[in-house]
Amino acid sequence: MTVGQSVNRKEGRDKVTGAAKYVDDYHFQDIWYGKTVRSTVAHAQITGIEFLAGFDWSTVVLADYRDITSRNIVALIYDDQPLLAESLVRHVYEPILLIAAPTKELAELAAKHVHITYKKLPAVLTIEDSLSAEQKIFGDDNVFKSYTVTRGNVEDAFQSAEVVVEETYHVGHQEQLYIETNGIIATAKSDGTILIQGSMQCPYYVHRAIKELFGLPDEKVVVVQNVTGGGFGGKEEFPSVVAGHAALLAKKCGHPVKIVYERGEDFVASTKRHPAVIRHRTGLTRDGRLIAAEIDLTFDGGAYCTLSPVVLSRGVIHALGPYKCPNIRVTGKVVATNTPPNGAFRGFGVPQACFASEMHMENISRKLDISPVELRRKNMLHQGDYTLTGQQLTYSVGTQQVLDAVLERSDYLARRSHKQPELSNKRYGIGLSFYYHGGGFTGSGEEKIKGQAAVELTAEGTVRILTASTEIGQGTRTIFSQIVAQELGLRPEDVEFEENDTSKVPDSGPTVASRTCMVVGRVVQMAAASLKEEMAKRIASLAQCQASEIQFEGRHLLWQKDGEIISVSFAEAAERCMSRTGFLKTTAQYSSPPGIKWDDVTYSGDAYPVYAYAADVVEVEVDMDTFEVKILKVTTATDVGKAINPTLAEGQIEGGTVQALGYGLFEEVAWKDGKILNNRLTNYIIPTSLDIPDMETVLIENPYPYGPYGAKGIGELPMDGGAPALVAAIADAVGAVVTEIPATPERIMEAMEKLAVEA
Amino acid sequence: MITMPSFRVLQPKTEAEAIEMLAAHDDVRILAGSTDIVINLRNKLLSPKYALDVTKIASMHGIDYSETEGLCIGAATTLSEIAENPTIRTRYEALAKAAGLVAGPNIRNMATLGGNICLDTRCQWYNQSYFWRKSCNFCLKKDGDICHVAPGGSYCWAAYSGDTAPALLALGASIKIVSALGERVVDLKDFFVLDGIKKYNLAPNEIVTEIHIPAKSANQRGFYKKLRIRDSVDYPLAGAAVVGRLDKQGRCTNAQVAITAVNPAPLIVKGVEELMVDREPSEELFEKVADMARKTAKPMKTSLSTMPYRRHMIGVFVKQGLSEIFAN
Repeated sequence: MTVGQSVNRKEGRDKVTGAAKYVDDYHFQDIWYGKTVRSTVAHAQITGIEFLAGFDWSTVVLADYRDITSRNIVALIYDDQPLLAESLVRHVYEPILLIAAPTKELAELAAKHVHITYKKLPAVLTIEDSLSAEQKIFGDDNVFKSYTVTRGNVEDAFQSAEVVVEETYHVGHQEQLYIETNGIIATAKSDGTILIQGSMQCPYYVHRAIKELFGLPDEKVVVVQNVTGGGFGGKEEFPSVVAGHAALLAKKCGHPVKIVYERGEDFVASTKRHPAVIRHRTGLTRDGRLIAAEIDLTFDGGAYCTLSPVVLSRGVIHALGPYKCPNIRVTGKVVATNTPPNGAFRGFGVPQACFASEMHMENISRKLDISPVELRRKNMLHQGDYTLTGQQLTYSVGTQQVLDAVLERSDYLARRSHKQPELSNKRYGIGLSFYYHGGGFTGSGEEKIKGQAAVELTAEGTVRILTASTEIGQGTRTIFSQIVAQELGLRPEDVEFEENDTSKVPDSGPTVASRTCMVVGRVVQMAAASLKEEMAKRIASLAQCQASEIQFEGRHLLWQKDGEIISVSFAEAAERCMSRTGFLKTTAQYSSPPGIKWDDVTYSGDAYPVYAYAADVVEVEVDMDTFEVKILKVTTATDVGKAINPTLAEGQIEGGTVQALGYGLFEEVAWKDGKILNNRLTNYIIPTSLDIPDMETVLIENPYPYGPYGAKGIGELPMDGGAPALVAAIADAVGAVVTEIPATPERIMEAMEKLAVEA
Repeated sequence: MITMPSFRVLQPKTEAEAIEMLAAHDDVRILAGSTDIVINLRNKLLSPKYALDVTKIASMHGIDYSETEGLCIGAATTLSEIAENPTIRTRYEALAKAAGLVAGPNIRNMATLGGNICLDTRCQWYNQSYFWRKSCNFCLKKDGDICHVAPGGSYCWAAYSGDTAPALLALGASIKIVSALGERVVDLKDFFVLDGIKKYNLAPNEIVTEIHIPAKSANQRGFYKKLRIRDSVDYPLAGAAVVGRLDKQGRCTNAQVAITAVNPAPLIVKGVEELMVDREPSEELFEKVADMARKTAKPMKTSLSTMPYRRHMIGVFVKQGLSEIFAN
């Protein structure tokens, strides 16, 4: 049994020993370096580009939008974002001009000699400014996309509510901060093929973007993913921009062109988590039962649409949290501002929604004087219940289990009621969050993607997986090899991978949306099952037995003949299977579980095939002189369906929780006139190992019948609940609820002053 | 991409050789641990022709203590060596604590005491890449003529951000500076200048070679605390050093408070000694001193943290320091 075992990471040794080659480790003799010249203003007409004297312009190659042969777009949803600005810039850092040079120093020197003049236009920099639509920057109302989801009769229900609780919550930008910055090398071949290699999550997204840019057919664009140092959504859509720039320069200068951002550039140029303002109005019975809810979410999309409609839709669907409410209306919109476009980031709209909904539960529990646990127990979803989109949850609903487990393991009830005496100036607090996250694409997304994967026998008698799902540190290769090994009676080390190259692997869909294990893992399992069936059939015809009698076990194929067990090694069987055809390869394609229905118009039905559930308990100590927060302990319980590799699953949960704690306590992008003030690791603060406490991670396995061995997607889930649990713990310690994150000492001080004034 | 500017590295083995090299070359920057300066070079805040590395000069390393002469530290001695030195930990507690709180362990293994004293001032409008600063039309401190912190002003508010200086100030340290003209010894409090651009009195051909703390400052209780968002890595957003001692009757015989990161220079809080000496420490006295420290602090919007909070924290730290030091 290899599924369920914490086998070593497939690529771990290479990464630890430094053998892994990241994009910046590739050196070609004739390589040139690309540099991007960006807008320094938030909204303006470009009135001129001067190439200053004092630099020998014949030593470099320049490219602008006029060099784009087909469509000047970063192909995604609306196609509204130009690869290079033409006459108008819509945000600071918008790319305008590209420079290629034989050395980095020369490229940088050239950039210093470019002077761009602008005629400034009024800039829309905040959600409030955008909503007022005084300055129109997108359509008539600055709204990229809006949704409304309604169930029951909200107005009547509020009439009968005994208590109404209302509050507004604010969250800011968050940077993904993958350890390896964005980087691409592009090569334009003499036959017109464009070759892209680099750091990315979704090779087929880049593939499509490059095709659109140059009007090329599928086979003329080849995209290869190099070893990638983290993504967290930040390398979902953004690498298409870097690849487009590098390709344009490569075509023009005739050399391979490398563009690797340094941190400061990566920080300002790439997408971030959407800031949001979320208002909750909730009607309850006096004993704490939810009977009516109105939730309004407004996300800041930035200057271009990117993936905003999809991010918002996930936020809207998760707006209530894993609770029942018979009468509810959720409205959401994502608006345009003259700030860099926001995009995918682990959690994809849910961390914003979840912070608001869970802090609102904290506020309700305070207002009604009901314990946070009791409030959740009264309202939580159980198997058979309906979500706000009207989806009936019929399987793998681990709500009660995760809540029970986290309470028990953290000793929440005892620790909350028996607080340590208030020695000195330190106050102890404990907070709870309870949340869920849908796995895979929203609604009909997976049906449209039809993700594929294949497995094949190798000449060495082992098995190779062909998939476009990328390894970005989360363990794709390890768990896929475990799944295939399990199906075929092999060891994970008997399974290898085809290079992640669009000319070699099928489109498995993007490596996003917590879908890699749950959706593509299932497809890989299906492909392996077909391979097994085909091998059994071929061996059975040679051995003159029934295919169904052949067992795959211990790297052997076994069957009985005349009461005797016959065994042949897998490698030998593989050779026999390929003797006539020379190869054996099976491909599988995703299909939704039976009975899944979704209506894109009314936004109702089965939003996701299944949800994963979790609960967090965070314990803190707050210094009442300085309002500094020390996180003492974090306990999480997560219903993962099935942990294919428990250590990797725990790693996902712990890593996501750390990012969530950073979101709640430290991480904030500071802006001035549309510019980012803290684009460096010295001042954009993420937690260090000293800021992260002991974590206890409980895995609960409540199998999902249509996932590989019951597994559900948990890539994003742990990003959702850390911040509200942390801020609830702070509230427990100091008595004031902070409604805006990060909960900096200044904000805690402010919340306490406000509380004192109200009292 | 951010590239390193080109410069030649000079690597003298002796102070005399260093002085000669400084006299013979134009436009030289001194490098010690290079932990701060390399980032500033890459950001094109500096673009010297030469960099003079002092770490190979043997006489600039080492820690010497005698009961009569006090403590002598070579300017190229690393902060780790200082933080871990048993003599400094017991006799000059405030310095050991401050050195141990600079950045993180790997930085402390490289960074030197001389370098930490001569740290450039910091501001969110200054510690940025060339292209970032250009997008804001630069600033007073470098390449420009406007101040984004105090628009309209002609004074640079960039905050001094060294951790060891306040401890050294409170301990009454002096530094030895050498050049072709000979050597001079300067009280540290006279070394700093309350100006984010000028920072301190050091000519381009001078090197700080040694730090001296008098014997009479030894064996006091010492305290240093800094405000930073994380438990490691970060520069101080506010910091306070306190040293002092009590006589057998429980009366204060010395008390010194110095603050950092809230002004363009580290500052001694004036009048603390006069207020506290010969008196029995009390909460009331501590509150008075904390108030004096708060008034000395003039943080400006040079970092992301707010000004009132940074000032508030100076008071908190000073009070904590005094309570700790004068606890019976």
